[in-house]
Amino acid sequence: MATYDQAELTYDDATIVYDGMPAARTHSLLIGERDFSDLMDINATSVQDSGTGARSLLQTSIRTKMADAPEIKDQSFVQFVAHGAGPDLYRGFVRSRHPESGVTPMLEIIADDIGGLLDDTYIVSELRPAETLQVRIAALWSYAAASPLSSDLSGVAALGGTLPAQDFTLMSLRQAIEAAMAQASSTARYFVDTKGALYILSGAASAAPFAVVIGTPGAGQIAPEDLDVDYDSNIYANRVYVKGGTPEGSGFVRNEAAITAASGLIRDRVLDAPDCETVTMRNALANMYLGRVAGAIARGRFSTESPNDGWNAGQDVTVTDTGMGLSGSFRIAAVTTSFTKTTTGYIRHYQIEFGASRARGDQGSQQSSHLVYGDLGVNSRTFVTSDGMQVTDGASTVRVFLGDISGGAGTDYGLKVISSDGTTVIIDGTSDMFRIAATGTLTISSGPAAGVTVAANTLLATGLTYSPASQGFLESGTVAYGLPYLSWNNSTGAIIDRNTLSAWVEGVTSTKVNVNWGSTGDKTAISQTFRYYIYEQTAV
Amino acid sequence: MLSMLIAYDTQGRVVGTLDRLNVHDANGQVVGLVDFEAKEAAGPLRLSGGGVWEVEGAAGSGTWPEWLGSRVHEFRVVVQDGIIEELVHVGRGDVPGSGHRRRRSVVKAAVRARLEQAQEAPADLRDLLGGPDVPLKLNDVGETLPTRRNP
Repeated sequence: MATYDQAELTYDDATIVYDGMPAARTHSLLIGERDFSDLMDINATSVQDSGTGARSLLQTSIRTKMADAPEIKDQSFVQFVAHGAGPDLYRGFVRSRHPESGVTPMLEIIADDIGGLLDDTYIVSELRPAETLQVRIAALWSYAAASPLSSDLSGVAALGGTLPAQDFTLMSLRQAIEAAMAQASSTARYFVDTKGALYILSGAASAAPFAVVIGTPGAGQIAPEDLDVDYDSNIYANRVYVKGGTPEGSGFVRNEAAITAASGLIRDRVLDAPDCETVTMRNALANMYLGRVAGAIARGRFSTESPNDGWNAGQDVTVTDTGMGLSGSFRIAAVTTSFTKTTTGYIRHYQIEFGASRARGDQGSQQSSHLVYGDLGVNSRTFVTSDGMQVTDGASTVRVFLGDISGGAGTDYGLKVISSDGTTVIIDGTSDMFRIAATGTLTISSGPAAGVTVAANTLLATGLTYSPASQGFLESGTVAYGLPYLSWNNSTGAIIDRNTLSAWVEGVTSTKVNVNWGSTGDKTAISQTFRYYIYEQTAV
Repeated sequence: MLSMLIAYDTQGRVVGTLDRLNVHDANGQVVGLVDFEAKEAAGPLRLSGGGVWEVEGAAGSGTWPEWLGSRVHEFRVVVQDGIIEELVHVGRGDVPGSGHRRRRSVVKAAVRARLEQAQEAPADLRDLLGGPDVPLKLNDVGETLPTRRNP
């Protein structure tokens, strides 16, 4: 049981009893604190849930003249409840009104949900020090203190430990929240509930209520009324203008391969990146964006209706159509719910869009931009910085750095890998790497007689045209000795045993591996095995 | 499948191994590992015959599906129709032989079962075969020590 307080309304969602309303009502619509439930056309009503990344919309028609409904004005508070399989609650603000005259005058309205305030609240400049995500979100949320958004931030999880300092300049509240979240977690999700309270949660998306199967559905499955999948390129672009926070962080970036493939045709988009301040960051963001929009994106939609309820944007749904060759799990991008009135209530119709997420960053009120980040696993997070890309471990220690690894000095570029202590460098920009071209073993079954050297050889078709670096060791029981290996008589200092390994080009592109075993004593009764490694430089 | 190469003398004793060998393209870039089993099926493994290696003093060589590290030198090969079908533990130096036999047919059957179990998904064969530089661990008599995956 829950009680909601908003706009001076109180109700209990278990019994759905409203102040001044009959309990048996199937749906309720209040606009500007006036009850329009009896005047609304439920058959012309739809609610679009677009998930967390964009506004959700309510569209409906009301049988009234605009002059007779002065409560319906710009930004009037809207509350819609559809009882039954829910109840579904929508809270928002009137965005547009469209009156139609006739025998029955109608007023069509469109409303933005309360979460849309995230797009309409701007932060001019906020420089945050190193702090926790909860403290940072609280500071950002204070910019919406005068709005109907709730001040309750108890739903914001503690993620990412202490975040690095961050500059929020000329960003919407949604952009700022997403940028802060990107510093804390690559898997976190967020939403604004119907009371206007912000939730930031860790973990993957929840599962859809049903799997979708073309054919005879089994338990937990439904056969949709229709299923359509396309690979559209509506958002295709091969050149992007990054609108960054500084002149250096702004400018055009081209996808030359995509432009060539399009026979020179250039398609532009604008990427809004107010936190981009350097050329390096601009290019990184633009290239990632172009990578997502330079090809067609698989996307689909299907329809179903009550009693198959429980659909929400952000859920993961499994879709299978063997005839189409489609089988996989997809993220639900949008759910549009419409209603058909019946004698006892209404039927809900769901149009569900699924598939690849839309590329963000375009101009427009429904898009937002943020740093691009990827999921590398439970304990790894990836960040785009002004110097390149960073990957941190579960303790928020930077373990991998790609880009300007000199710390912004621009004197060394490449890959830097750091140990778990955060300071020991394993690989840096000047590391010279080798790979193993071949490895194996050789045995000398009968050791040398006194004063003699014996050898074992193998020829390998390595393909190497130069005498390679090599390494090996001698196995003596459970003990291994690196080669060359010498042993001597401690009392006289005389060398009595000598083991070496060498490798060189023998003939055309074949490498000879040679091990030698010499001794001043008789070793003919002893067998020894040698392990060898042949190396080649990765740059050769 | 990838495998290890074993060279043996006239007594069948193992005298050399080749765990892995890189393949280069025409530009000298590494493009993968040599498939020794495919090479063996296509013709001789001897370098002079267009093969991949030649071990001085060896009487012959062939593939073995497991990677056993230098412990394989404690075995003698049993060759049938040019293929190494068994490894017999004969010991070496201070390590006495046990007579334990590692049979190719048994290893291949275990691999087939694992692949069928995985259906089309990738199958993890590391506990069955080991790998170059990560050989199977053997006990004193030449049997594979149990692993967490394959107790």
